[in-house]
Amino acid sequence: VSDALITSLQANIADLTTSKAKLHAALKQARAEAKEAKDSAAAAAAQLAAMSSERDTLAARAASGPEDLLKQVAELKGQIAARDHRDGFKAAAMAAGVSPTAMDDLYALSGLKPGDDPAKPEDFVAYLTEAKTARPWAFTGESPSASGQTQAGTAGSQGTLALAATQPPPGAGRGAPDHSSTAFKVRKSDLSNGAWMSQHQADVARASAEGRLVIAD
Amino acid sequence: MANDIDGLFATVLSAATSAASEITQYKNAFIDAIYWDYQAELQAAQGAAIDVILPTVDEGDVVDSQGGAYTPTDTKHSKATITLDRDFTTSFLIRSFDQVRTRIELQTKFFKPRLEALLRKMNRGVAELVTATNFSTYSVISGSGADVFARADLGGAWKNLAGRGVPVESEMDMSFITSPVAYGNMLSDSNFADESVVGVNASQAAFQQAKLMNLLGARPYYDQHLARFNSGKEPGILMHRGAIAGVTVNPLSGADYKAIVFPKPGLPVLVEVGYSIKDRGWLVGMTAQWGCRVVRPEFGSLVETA
Repeated sequence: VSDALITSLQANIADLTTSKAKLHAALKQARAEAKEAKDSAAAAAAQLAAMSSERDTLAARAASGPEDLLKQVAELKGQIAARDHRDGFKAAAMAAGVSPTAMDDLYALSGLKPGDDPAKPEDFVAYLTEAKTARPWAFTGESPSASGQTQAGTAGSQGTLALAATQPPPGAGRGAPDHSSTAFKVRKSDLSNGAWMSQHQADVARASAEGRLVIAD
Repeated sequence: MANDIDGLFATVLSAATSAASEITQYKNAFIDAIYWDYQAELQAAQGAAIDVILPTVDEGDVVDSQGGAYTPTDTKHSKATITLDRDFTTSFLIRSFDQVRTRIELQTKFFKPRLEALLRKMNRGVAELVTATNFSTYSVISGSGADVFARADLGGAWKNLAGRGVPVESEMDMSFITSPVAYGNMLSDSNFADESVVGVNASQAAFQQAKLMNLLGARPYYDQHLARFNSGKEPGILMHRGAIAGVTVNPLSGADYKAIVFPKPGLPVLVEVGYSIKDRGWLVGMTAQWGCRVVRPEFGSLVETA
């Protein structure tokens, strides 16, 4: 093999080595760029999904928004009308002498509803005049049960009632009721003591009529 | 099961106290119109003389000391000695327990009528004191109307009392008591019953309830027991409570079962129960021991119709 050939082959080998190094570098760069492109694509996809969701929400909100708002406005208008109506009733009731504690009960029992126009105190005069006879407890502060009246009420009536303590009926055929806890005890000497009897005659009469009198020696 | 004495007494007590608390049938005006002194601590024998203190307003009790010491006097409220000369009793016999099985029966059939009768008799005793002799400080005012008084008649009596310093402004103590005839005529007399004269309320009360409203600061009543001062003329008296005083005490009793009830404030009535062998039944007795007399004749002025 001639030297020229060897030199030529060595030169080729050097070129090939150089080309290999260049290709290796190029491949490395291409891989890095491919990875970067892949990451970028994933981020873009995620952003796209978020934006799609946001777009859908906004689109839905845009589509349904006006009806909800109208409903909400109507509800608030109703609440304001009810409040004004109740305030008007309270003003008229206060002027008519209704007890503050019976105010809510009487309003609930009235069954009156707000109208189109704002309520005026004179709108309630007829009802309050009638109530003065039909529901006198509301004007004295007395609870309906204490005045011996039942509260008819409307279905929505939720007045707070102060109920009187219930009294068990006398036991029929089972002996006299036990009054021992409320017995009125007197000594025989008290009964013939004028000064004592002048103060307690009515108590003795009441207790004996109710079977609560106990005469001790 | 037979009742025992405790049960009987409890029923009697219940009926008596209830009856005493519900005396309403007769007004007994004089009992309400006089001064009563109930001496609760006293148990006096029949005929005892009891001193009754009469509240007296006397300017002589006030001294202008000019910066000096007090000038104390003994408590010298004027007092009147009243004899405990009345011992009114009423009683009934329970032969069978069936008669007193219920309190209501005993109360309505026995106690209430007897207590009413007792009060009526006491009222008569007080009314008998109202005579021209006992009230001679002023001459009897003779009215001009036949069986009816005129306003001027009452005005004359009022002037008598006010002129002598009687506290005529005290409405609870002043009474005008007359006979049912004169009272009834006043109810339909224009001077006492017409709306244009006495106002609508007084006119309504006169016509609808036979009640005369206060006259010259006194409560007007009628009383059947008031006797005429002169024949054919209806009587009347304008009086302050202090004109007549009565005294009451707790009656003496040795009974085991007894109680004191008050058909009127200050008027004690002893109710006692015991078995009487002689009478063969349970004896229920009621006693009121009292006395009264005119103590201040200047506190009453008599009037009569023509």
